[in-house]
Formats: sequence, C-alpha cells, structure tokens
Amino acid sequence: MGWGRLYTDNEIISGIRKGGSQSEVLLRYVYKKNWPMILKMIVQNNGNEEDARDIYQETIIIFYEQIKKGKLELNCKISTYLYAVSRNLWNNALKKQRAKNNYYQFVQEREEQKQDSHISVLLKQEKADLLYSCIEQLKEDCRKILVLSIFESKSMKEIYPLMGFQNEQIARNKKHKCLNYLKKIVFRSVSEADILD
Amino acid sequence: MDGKEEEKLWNYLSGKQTDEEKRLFLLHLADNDELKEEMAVSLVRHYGRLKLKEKLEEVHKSLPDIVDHRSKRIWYWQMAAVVLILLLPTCLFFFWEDQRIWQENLFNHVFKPYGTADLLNAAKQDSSLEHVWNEAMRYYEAGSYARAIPLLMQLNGQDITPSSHYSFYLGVAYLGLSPPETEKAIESLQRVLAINKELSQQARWYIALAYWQQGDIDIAKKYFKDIANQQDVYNHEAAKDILNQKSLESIQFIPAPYNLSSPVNKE
Repeated sequence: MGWGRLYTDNEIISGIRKGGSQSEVLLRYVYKKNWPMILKMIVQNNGNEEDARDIYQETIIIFYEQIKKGKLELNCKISTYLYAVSRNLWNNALKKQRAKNNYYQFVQEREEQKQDSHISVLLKQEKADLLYSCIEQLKEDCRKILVLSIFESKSMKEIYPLMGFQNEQIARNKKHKCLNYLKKIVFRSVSEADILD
Repeated sequence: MDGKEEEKLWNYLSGKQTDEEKRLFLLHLADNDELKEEMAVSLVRHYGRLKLKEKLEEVHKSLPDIVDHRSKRIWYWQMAAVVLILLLPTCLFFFWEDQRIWQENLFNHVFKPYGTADLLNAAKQDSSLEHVWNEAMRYYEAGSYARAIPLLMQLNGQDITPSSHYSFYLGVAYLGLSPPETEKAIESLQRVLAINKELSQQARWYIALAYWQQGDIDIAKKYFKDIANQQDVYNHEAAKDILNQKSLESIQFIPAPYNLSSPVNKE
C-alpha cells in the first residue's frame, strides 16, 4: 500500500487539531495505515472483518474527538494508542456477547443476531435518519457553527473568522440561537418518534 | 448531565425505552431546559460522529481488500515458483552443458607434446639407433605422430637400458594422434612410471590427460591430485587449476623441453 508522504505523529495530531482539508488528509492517512493491524487483531480474536471495521471506525472517532478536545496526550505512538483503544472496545464487545459462558449458545445467539441484525440495522437507520432530519432542518450556517463548536471543539475566536462574522460575540449569539432552534426541533421530533414507536 | 441521564438519553434516542419510560422522560424534559440543551448538544455531537463515520466509510471503501492483497501475494509467490521451476532446468542444463564442454575441451586445450630431447645416451652408442631417433624426433616435432610412433616402437624394442624415454615419447605421441589412442598412451606412460624417476612427473601428467580424454574423469583427477599435492613438480599449478575447474584460458601449464644432456641424465 503506497502511503505517499509519511507524516510524524506530531504532524498528524497538530494537523487534525487545526482542521480543514489537511485534517481530512491526515485522518485518511492514519486510517489506511493502521487498518491492517486492527483487522488482524480482531480477526485473530474471534472477530470478522465487519466487526473490525466497526470497532476501528469507532476507535478513529474517539481518537479524532480526543484531539479536537485537546485531551489527547500521547506517551506512545499513535498506532499503539489506536491498537489499545480498539482492543479495549473489542474486548468489551466480546464480554457482552460471552456473558453466559456457553460457546454454543454464543454461536447460536450470533446467528440469531445475524438474522435480527437486519431488523436492528433498520431501526438504527431510522433513528439516524430521524436525527439527521432534525439537524438538517437547520440552515447550513447553524449546522456548521454547532458542529464546529460542539463536535470540533473550536472556540468562538477560531469560529468567527471561519463563519465570516465580525467578532466572537456575534458567533456566540449565533450558536445560542441555533441551539435553541435545534431544541425545539428535537422536542417536536422526539414526540413524533415516540408516536411512531 | 450525569451518566444515568446520558444513558436515558441514549436509550431514548436509540429506541430502547419502554412506553412508560418514554412518557416519564418526555415529562422530565418539559421542565428541564438544561437537559434539553444537553440533549441537543449530544445530538450535534452524535451528528458529527455520524458524518465522520460516513467519511471513514468512504476511506474504507477505497482500501484494497486485504484478502486480495494476500491472494496477490500468494499469486506472486506462485508465479515466482513457476518461473524458478522453469528456469532451474534451463540453468542446470546450461551449467551441465558448460561443464561438459569444459571437460571435452580440456584435453585439446591443455595437451601439448612434450619438448624433444637431445640425443639419448643409448642412441649415441648405436649410430643406427641415432638415425632412427633423429628421424622419430623429426616426425614428432612436425606433429606427424603416426610416422613417429613406429620408429619409437622400434627404438623401444631395442632399448637396452630400461630408461623408457622411448616409452615416454611413444605415450605422448599416441596422445598426439587424432583421435588420441589413450589406452596405448597409458600403457606406454605407465612403463615410464615404473622405471624412470626423472620422467615420472611428466608421465603422471600425460597419464592424467589420457585418462581424462578417455572419459575416466575420476581416475584422471586422482593423478591430477597427486601432482597438485606435491610442490614444485611438473605442472603442479596446472593440476590445481584443473581440479578447481578454472576457465581453460587461465590454466597455466608447461610442456618444458627435456634436456638429456644435463648432468643428471648422464649417470
């Protein structure tokens, strides 16, 4: 697998924290580089490729969020960190599945889950669709400012120039307005979902 | 928002609450603006994760299949094995062919008739023998071994002293024929080994060549080994080169002329 340019761990972390297109490039780089290692670990521990994909993506999301929040303090390599997080996530998933200490029951349940998974996936997808529909009722600038401030953990100082505002206070006010509007949407949508269920 | 509230929130969002739980939760939300805000924030965070997951899924789709990678690796190894299997006999063929050509050409490259000698002591005693000897040597030097051989045989038969110089040159002459008569050459040269110390080194060399030309490579190698194991004997270095299968061009050998008038031979 060709990596193109190689990045150091410090470059990766600072680049993702800054955001922008470079952040996406770096995240892609990290993802591609460490996937084989995680896949191997999970497959060698009673998992399959699909399990590995889910666990790995969850790991990368955790990694990303920790960087954005400024909470990632590594005293090891990024690959070591990702491996440790993936392993923990997978072990927790296995523990839940193996609660009854019965291998055959575990296998049977896995089979049943496979059959049910079709239904459960739909339900999850329905909820995801509902959530998307809530968020996407917001205008794009509202979505953007909420995602930048909440998910990307950017400060108003960083956000206002990105949004084209004149100062931080304007950005802060905008965020407040958008969040209020979202609460109204969620409340209304939660009620509808409740009725549907 | 504590862990329990968050759990309720996610249970509600993922649809795991019962109807009663949902009703109570909604009731709780109605009077709890802070919780609504936390719920909205959590929703945004969840949305961000979903969007990121979509991007990661796109990246994942662009990954080469690990299985394909493995099969490609296996395929490359299989191809390498096939190429090796096909090439190996070819390489071996050319190697053996080189060996065969080397073996066949060794005699032609290395065989050179031994230099002619001065008049033999015995020949000096008998003028008729001297005549025969001179004529034999003339033919020998000219490469006319077929004519030299009968004369040398005549001399050999009349040789009083068993010095077998005649046998030596007879043996070399047999090897000079085209094709060489290796058996006769060996027979003549073996006589030299038995009775002539001075020419035994040279005889050993030509016996080795005779056996080699005959195809008795192992016997030839034994003679070459004897020569190679003794320092300062005739064609000691050449014997070593042959045993080490050096290229024909690099084998240095010496068909030194043999001077019978030297003090050693006047005993």
